[in-house]
Amino acid sequence: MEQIEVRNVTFKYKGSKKPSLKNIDLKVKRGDFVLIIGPTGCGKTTLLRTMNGLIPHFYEGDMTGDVYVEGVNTKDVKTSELAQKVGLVFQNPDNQFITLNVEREISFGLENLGLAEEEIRGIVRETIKEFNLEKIKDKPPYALSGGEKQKVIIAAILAMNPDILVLDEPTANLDPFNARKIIDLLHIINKEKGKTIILVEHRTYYAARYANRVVVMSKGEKISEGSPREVFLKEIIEEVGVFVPFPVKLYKFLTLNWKPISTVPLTAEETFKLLRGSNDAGKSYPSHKFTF
Amino acid sequence: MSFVKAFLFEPETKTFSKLDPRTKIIFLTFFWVSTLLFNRMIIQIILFTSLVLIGLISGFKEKIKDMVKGSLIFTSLIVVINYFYYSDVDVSLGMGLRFLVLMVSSSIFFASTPPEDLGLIFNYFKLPYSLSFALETASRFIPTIALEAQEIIDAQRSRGLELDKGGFLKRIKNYIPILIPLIVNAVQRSLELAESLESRAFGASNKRTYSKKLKFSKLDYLFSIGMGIALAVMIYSAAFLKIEEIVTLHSLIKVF
Ligand SMILES: Nc1ncnc2c1ncn2[C@@H]1O[C@H](COP(=O)(O)OP(=O)(O)O)[C@@H](O)[C@H]1O
Ligand SMILES: [Mg+2]
Repeated sequence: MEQIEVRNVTFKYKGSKKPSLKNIDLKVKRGDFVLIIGPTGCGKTTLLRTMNGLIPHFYEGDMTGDVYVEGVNTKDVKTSELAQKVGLVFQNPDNQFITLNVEREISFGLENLGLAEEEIRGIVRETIKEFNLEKIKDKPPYALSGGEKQKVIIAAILAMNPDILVLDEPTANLDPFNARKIIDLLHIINKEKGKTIILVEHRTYYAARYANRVVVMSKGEKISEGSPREVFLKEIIEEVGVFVPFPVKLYKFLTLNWKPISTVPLTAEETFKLLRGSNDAGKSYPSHKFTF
Repeated sequence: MSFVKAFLFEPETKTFSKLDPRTKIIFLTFFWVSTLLFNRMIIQIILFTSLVLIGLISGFKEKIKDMVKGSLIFTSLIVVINYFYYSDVDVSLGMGLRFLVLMVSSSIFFASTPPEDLGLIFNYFKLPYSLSFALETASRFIPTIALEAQEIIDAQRSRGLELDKGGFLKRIKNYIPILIPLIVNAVQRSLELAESLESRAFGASNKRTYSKKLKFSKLDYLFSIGMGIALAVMIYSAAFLKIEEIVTLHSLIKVF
C-alpha cells in the first residue's frame, strides 16, 4: 500500500477563478525522498496542504478527488490528528516558533497530544541530544539564527514521531551554508530514521542528490515525474523556469558537443569521477552528522 | 512602547524567575493588598522602596526603569487629580506611589514568570488553557512585531515619508503607510501561525498535559512564608492598630 496517495485532486480556493491544483495524481512510498519543484504560484504549497488535511479543513474551496494518508482519507480526520502521521514544516521559521525557548518548543506538540509528563521529558531530552541542541536549549527564538530556528522546528515536529515529513521551502529564508545543512539533515532523517520526506525546494542542486523522485509542477498540474537523473534532463524543466543542477547542465553540454557520458551526474564529485572515467559515480554519498 | 515592554517575560534565567509561580502570586498579592490597605505616603514609600529593592536584587533594573518611565504621565495625572480632590499633598502623592507599586509589582511578576508557568497556574486554578496560551503567544510575538514596525518605519522613511510633520491630524495620517503593511503582515503571520499550530496537534487532545510540574523549593518556602507573615502584619496593623483606616470602596476608586 502507498503511504500517501493523491487521487485525481482538483482544488480551487474560495474566491479564486482558476483551480490551483488540476487533476493531480501522486503516490508516495514509505522511505521515499520526493522533491517537488516548479515556478512560484504553480501550486506546490497547495499540494502540500492537501497532505495533512489543511485542505479541505482549514482552507475553504472546492475540492474533488481524495487524499489518503496511510489508508485514511484526509477528509475524515482533523489536521491536528493527522499531525501524528504527517509533520509539516513551513518556510518562515519565525512564524512557526510558537513558544519562548527551544526546550519548550519541543515539548509543546507532545503536550498537545496529551502524553504523560515523564514520557514528554524523556522524548525532549532525547531529541535535544539527537539534534545536538544542548547549547541552545534555553534560548529564546530571537537569540537563534534562521538555520537554528528551522532545525529546532524540524526537531520539534520529529519529536511527535510522524512517519512523514513534509517541508515547504524550508531553506528559503536561509543563507546557502545553512540551507545545505538543513537539506543534509533531511537526508539523514530519511536514511537513518526511515522517515518519508516530501520536500519543496528551489535549491535543486542541493536537494537532487538525495531525492529518489522528482515531481515537476506548472500551473497547477503535474507535468513530469521520475528519478532526478531522468527528470532534470528533460527540456520542459528549463522551459517552465526550474533551476537545473549545474552538473546536469554540464552533462547536457558535454554529451552534445563532446562525447557520450554513461550516467547523468548530480554532484560535483560525480561529475569529476565521470570525467576521469571511473564508473563508480552516483553510488554513495558521504554521511553527515547532525551538527551545524 | 516601554510600558508594554515592561510586562514582557525576560527569558534570561534569573533566580527570581526560577521561583514557583505560586510564590510569585504570593509576592504579587502582598504588594497589591498592602498598597491598597493604606493611603498615607509614608507607608507607600516603604512599600515602593522594598519593591524596588527586591526588583534590583533580582535583576529587574531595566524593567523597573521601563515601567516607571512608561507610567510617568499617568502617575502625575493621578497625583494632580487627587490633589484637586483632597487638597492633601500627602494623600495625593501616596496615590501616585500606590499606582507605581501596582504597576511595578505586576511588571516584575510578568517579567519573571515564563508564560508556560502562567499556563501551569491557570491549569492549577482550573482556568482555560486558551487564556494562558493567548498570553504566551503575546509575549512571543510582541517583540517580533515591534521589530517589524521599526523596519517598516525605516523603509517608509527611506522612501521619503515624514512622520513628525504637520498638525495633529496630519501626523495621525502620516502613520497610515506604517499601519497598513503592519496589519497585512500581522494577518499573514497569524495565518502561518495557525497552520503551524495545526501541524503541532494543537487541540488534538482534550486532555492536554504539561511537561513541567509545579514544585516548591526551599527558597520558595522561605520567600512565601516571609511574604505571608509580612502580609499578615500589614493586614493586622491596618485592621487593629488603626495606623490607618481600612480601605473602603471610596479609597479604592481614588486609585484610578
Ligand atoms: N489562501 C489562498 N487563497 C486563495 N488563493 C491562493 C491561496 N494560496 C494560494 N493561492 C493561489 O493558488 C495558486 C498556487 O499557489 P501556491 O500553492 O502557493 O503556489 P507555490 O507554492 O507553488 O508558489 C496561486 O495562484 C495562488 O495565488
Ligand atoms: Mg509556496
